[in-house]
Amino acid sequence: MNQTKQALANAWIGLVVLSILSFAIAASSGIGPAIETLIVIAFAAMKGRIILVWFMGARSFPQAWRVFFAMWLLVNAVVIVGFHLVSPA
Amino acid sequence: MDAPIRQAVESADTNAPRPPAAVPALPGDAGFWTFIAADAILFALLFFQFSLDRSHHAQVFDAERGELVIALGAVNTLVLVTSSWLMARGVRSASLGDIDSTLRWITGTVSLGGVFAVLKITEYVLEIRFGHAPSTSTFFMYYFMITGIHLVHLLAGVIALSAISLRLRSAPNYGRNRVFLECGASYWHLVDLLWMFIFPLLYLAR
Amino acid sequence: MDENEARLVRLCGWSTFVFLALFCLGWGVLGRNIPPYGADMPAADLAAIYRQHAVSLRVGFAIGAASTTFLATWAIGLFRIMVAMERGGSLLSYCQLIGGILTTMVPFFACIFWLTAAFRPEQDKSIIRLLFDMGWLTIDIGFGVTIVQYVALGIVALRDKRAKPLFPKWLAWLGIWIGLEFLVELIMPQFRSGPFSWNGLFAYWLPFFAPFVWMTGVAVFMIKAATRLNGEYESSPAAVSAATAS
Repeated sequence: MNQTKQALANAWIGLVVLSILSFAIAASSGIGPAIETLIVIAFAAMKGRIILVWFMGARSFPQAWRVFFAMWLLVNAVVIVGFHLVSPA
Repeated sequence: MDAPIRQAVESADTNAPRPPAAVPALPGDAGFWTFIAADAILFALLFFQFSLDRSHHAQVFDAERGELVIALGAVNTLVLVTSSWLMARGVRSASLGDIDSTLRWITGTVSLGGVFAVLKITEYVLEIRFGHAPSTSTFFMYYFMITGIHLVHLLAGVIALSAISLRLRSAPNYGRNRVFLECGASYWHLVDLLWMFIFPLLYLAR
Repeated sequence: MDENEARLVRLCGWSTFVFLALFCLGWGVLGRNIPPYGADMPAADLAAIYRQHAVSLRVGFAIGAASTTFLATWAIGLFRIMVAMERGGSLLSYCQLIGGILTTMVPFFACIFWLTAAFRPEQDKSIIRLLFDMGWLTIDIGFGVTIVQYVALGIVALRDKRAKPLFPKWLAWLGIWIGLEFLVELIMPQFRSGPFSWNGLFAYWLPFFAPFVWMTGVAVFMIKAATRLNGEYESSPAAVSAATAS
């Protein structure tokens, strides 16, 4: 859980940038719903990974827990995107 | 903080490579991560159930999604990621022996948690004024329930971190408080992690 | 605890499995509650089911009601272990005991309401539905005392300072989580269908089956704990001097 000040700041910047990009993509009318959903959920998983690794210190977790959280991110993203793609608005 | 101590703290930082963890370990108390995992699974089930129900009524869900006050949700996202960053800084300060700074970081975290709660309740009031309630439609049932359960988790985190802060204030000793601090921080990061999916799922995804 | 008491506490641990087996058989299978009929089922359909299956429903709910006796024996056995574990008095042990004993009344009365509906199934369908509703609202909203039981056990188990605690910390935290998850039931009465209604994922499957699995774990560790506490007693100065004096 102990990172350098710079690493934590970089993680925060990454989270803010990905969040703002998500808002912008959702607000723009030029992107189709499927692509938009794919991107915002992919960004969600990336942000989740940043929080897990840089804030929660997941790199130091025992193997089983690293796998659990990696699967959690992946399954959430796949399930959400999957259901959205089969039933577009 | 005294100048010599501040110097020591800051020079311990910067360019020295971090030694790898001796043994892989979970922060705080390992048993507490069962609580965290159970919460993570609960929300994964909520995401799954929402996505499944949405797939049967996609157009209705999308139309109702358009009734959400996305701006407030967006601001809340930035508020929460910032609070998580402050929390991480708090844990780092404590590990370097600077409890005073930790207390300030935790105050910042809790304050932003409070901001999130106020904005969320404002959103609820607006939605109810627009005529939306948990019982008015399936989409709004999920909206209120998912964000509501998340809000309850956030408020529990605010209480827990406030209690940890009081404990640190009365006994500013890292060794005795490390487990509480790391458990509290891990829980707070979970609250943030969950919102990373909740916001795009409810507000953005089409 | 001495050997006699340890044996009784182990029996209390085993009684957990008796409860689970009888309750799942009675309330679950014969009572047609896996999964339950929804709150949105028309009264005529519900009455037809009660009329068609009256005998098995009556047997099932009578067994279900009686099986709650073994929820009590589980709580009593746990109490004895917790008294040995708790430092600084026994208040939390009593919280578990009383929470656990009061919890037995929740599924008990729910089963009695359903039994009453099945007792005279030819009666007005609205009455059958009323009793059916009462059963579900009772069993779902009676969680307060159960939270007290699970959280008290969790706290005492977490404060166990043994090198190898009598209950693993993950089991204690899981119990606390399950207890708190029951709070979702507060919103259940707002819905007659969907995942938050009484036959939904979050108001039925999770809050019923997660505790059943957790109770199994608690029972396993209870049985082992009784043996360990007996061993601690046998090697304690009090037991040694009692043995030497006799």
